[in-house]
Amino acid sequence: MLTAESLKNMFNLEESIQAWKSKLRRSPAFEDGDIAELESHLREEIDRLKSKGLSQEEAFGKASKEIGEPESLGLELYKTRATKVDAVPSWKQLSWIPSLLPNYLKLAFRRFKRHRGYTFINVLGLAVGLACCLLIYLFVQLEVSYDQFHSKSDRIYRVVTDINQAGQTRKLAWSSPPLANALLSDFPEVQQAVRIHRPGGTMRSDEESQVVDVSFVDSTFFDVFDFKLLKGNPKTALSKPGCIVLTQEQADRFFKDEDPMHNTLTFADTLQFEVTGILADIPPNSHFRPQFLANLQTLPPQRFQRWGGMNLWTYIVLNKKTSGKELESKLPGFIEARLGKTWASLMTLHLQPLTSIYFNSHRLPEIGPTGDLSYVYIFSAIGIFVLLIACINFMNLSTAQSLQRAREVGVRKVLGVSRGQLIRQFLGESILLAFLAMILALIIAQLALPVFGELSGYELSGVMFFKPSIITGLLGTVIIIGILSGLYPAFILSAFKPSAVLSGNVSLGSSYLGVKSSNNLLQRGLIILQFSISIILLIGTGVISNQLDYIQNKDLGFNKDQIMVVRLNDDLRNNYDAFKQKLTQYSDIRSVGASSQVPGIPIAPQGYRPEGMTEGNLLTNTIFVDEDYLNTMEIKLIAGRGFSSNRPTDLDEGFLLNKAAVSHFGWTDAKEAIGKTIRAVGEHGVDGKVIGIVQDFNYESLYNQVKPLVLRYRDFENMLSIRMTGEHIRQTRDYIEDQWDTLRPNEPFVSWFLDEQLQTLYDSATRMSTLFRYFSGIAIFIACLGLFGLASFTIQRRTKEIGIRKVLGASLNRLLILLSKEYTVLVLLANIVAWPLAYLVMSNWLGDFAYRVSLKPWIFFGTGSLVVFIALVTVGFHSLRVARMNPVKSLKNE
Amino acid sequence: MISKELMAASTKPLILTILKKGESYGYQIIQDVKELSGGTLEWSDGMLYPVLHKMDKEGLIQSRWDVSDEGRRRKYYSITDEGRKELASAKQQWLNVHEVLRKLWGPSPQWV
Repeated sequence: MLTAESLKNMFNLEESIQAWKSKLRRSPAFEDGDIAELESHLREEIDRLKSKGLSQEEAFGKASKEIGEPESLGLELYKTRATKVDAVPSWKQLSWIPSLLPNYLKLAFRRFKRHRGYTFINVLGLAVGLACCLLIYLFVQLEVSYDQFHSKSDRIYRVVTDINQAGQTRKLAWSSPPLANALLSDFPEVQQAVRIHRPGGTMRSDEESQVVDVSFVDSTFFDVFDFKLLKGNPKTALSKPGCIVLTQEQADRFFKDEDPMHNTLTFADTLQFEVTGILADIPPNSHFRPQFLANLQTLPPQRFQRWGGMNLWTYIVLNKKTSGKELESKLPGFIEARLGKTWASLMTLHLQPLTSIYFNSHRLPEIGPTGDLSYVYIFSAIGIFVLLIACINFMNLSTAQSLQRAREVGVRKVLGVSRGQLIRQFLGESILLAFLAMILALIIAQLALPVFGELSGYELSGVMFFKPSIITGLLGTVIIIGILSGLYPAFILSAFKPSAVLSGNVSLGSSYLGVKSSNNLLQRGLIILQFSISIILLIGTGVISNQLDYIQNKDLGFNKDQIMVVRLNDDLRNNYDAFKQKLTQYSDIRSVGASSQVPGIPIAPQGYRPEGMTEGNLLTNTIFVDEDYLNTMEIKLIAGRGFSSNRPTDLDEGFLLNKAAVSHFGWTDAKEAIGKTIRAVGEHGVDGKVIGIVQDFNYESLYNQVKPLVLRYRDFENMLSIRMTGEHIRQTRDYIEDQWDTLRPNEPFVSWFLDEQLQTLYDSATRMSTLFRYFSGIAIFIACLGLFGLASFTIQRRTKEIGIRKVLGASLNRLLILLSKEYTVLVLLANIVAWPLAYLVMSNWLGDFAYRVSLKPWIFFGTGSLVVFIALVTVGFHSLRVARMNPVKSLKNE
Repeated sequence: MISKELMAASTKPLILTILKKGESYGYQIIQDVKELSGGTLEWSDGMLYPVLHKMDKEGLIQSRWDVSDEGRRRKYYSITDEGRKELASAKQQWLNVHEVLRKLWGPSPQWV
């Protein structure tokens, strides 16, 4: 009886036998006859075992076991057929590496050689992109690691001060001199403190005299900071008054060939120093870059007693348990307890983590140059963009090229290569190409290093790229790029059906990618992306140089050209008339004016109380000038009169205001302001009258609106502004220096040209401009390189089509339009994508300037047309070649 | 049990001897060997086939496909003239070896 159960068993046996057979079939050693023979053996044995009373399942299990392992059986069968005694079957060989790798490499290099052009374009594009990235990485790495080299960097804070007056807050980087000791005694969590006071003055040795800045610091300096000494002991180098430590560069300057150690230096004619140490090179990523370090106690102690006399930077080290925030919250109470309620409302203290000073300080006066985080972002973004463009190229070109390999894939598949092997082969090839690009990139980056150092403002000449750490990182990147760019062709191509490809039915093969490869949506999208980025960078270049032009030529309210500034030293400061006299006699000097500050240098504000205000004061920038200053600078007077040497009362009682100061002090117009009384508060408070109003002039940078300004007559002038005729500039300069030397033979002569000094205010913008110019050039170059490769490829595929069109009477022009059309459309689309983005980015950048150009449409149109033109030329080169080809030639092949 | 080496050496003459009696197929050959040896000659069944194929290739035996009475497809092997010659020579060699061993293992005790 056939029960359902037995039916199921019957079925099971057949299933098992089929499964057993297919297991055998999987081993390449068995041929069909072998398997049939073994099957009949198996069935007979099963029959025999069943007749002995075993169940079907047991019988099958025993019988198949008796036949043995398919693996070793296959190997034995293979041996009977092999010609060599110790032959190893191909499927037994180890993984994919050995047998075919040399073949892959050979084929890959053969292909690289045959398609030299594409390979070159491909590798070069990627290499340039990678090199850019490398350089930018280096820069960003330095920028974001500021001050991290100090071992206590996470516990060091700078105490800074906010002064709140008359509704205004002035953010100072300085703090009160007694603060450091008060903090140390009131808060056990403050472990160490160091103060830095930095006056400028003349430093003199037997050999040399120079105007320098000296940083006077507490003896704890080297406990807080990890600056290294080349000579001297950090424990004792600054322990006593009169100790000084200087950099090797300064030591060479002041002592030439002598041993600087224990030699003598004189500062500001009064202070004697003994050199107790030589400072090692300051790391490039340090916000504080001292040239001279001296013991603070060398200076008279009365300078550092008043809480109100903020004149130094204070750095503290907290213990490991306390955060800056914790201590900061206790500071208002601390001030109130120490100094009372008035001070507590006047002064707020903040703690800046040391490592955030470089980017986030935004306080004056700053101890060293600060950075701009947005600059780092822009840099990084550009780096990523350029790499992106290069990768897209790499991908597009690899994909386009791989179309040619349909037949190779077909043949390989027929010969039994599996899909996995094909994918590995293609990925391996693109990784190999990327690897070549990496080597080239390292070379390019190393060569471009000096140029880049200039751009980024860092001393980079010592940096080597051929380092294990960098190369490991690069290798990782390269493998990722290789895989990403090889992925698409690898998977598409390996999916080809060999029968279709080999029967010449190429359209089937290429229909995966589209007959014209650029029809492919992905490829088109990528081209648009590439060109959008390039266009944004180009528009950026245009806008920035436009703004820089504007800055250069804007009317500043004074004439900055042909002005030489000479710095007066301490004893000339109140006694410069004789010198001035001498200068004005020279024929090429028009006039000479003295002032406490010249435009472009930050100004310290003073407190003023205008008439009608009963308490408090208004902090206002103040410049002291002599009677010739306005004339010399060509600053216009719009009401009242200027200072005059015939009116001695001007000395104490005459104030000039700029226009902005009129409303600052609460008056409606210039007329109303004239004759009003203002009290200058402070140690030497005086009452004065407003005698005149001058036109607003940009005495700071164009990043800021002109701020209110008080001009006062003769007190602290330490600079002479000399207006020259503009002829014989060299001789004039020599004359001025000669006069200086006769008057003050041993004093260093310090001078500069005002317009150059002003230009340095826009250094970062200028750098940005150069940067954009370079990188937009590189971006366009790489993008066009890609377009060039792709276009030549596509157009080559259309040679026959062009031939037929020509035969049918198409004109050269029509053909050119036909061939260039699709790329032109893509680049136009890229413009549409790029414009709004560029508009956003650039109006944001311009927002930093109080005085700025408007975004002009012609920059956008101009850039757009330029890029379309470049793209057209790139594509046109090939189009023209193919379009001019003799159709007889292009149609006859094969 | 018989060692691997001896097995390998004896397989060929065994098969040839069985086939000399008449055409046979793989399964039957194995059954014959098992029966004759009383189980002392244990082959892994599958391993017979590589040997058969090899002898086929060497021309000692020949093969043909046929369908049995039960409707089962079988590959039948038969001995060739070449095979007979090979068998004769193998038989002589085995006998020679046998003779020497028999003498050595005979009554004389000093050799044991």
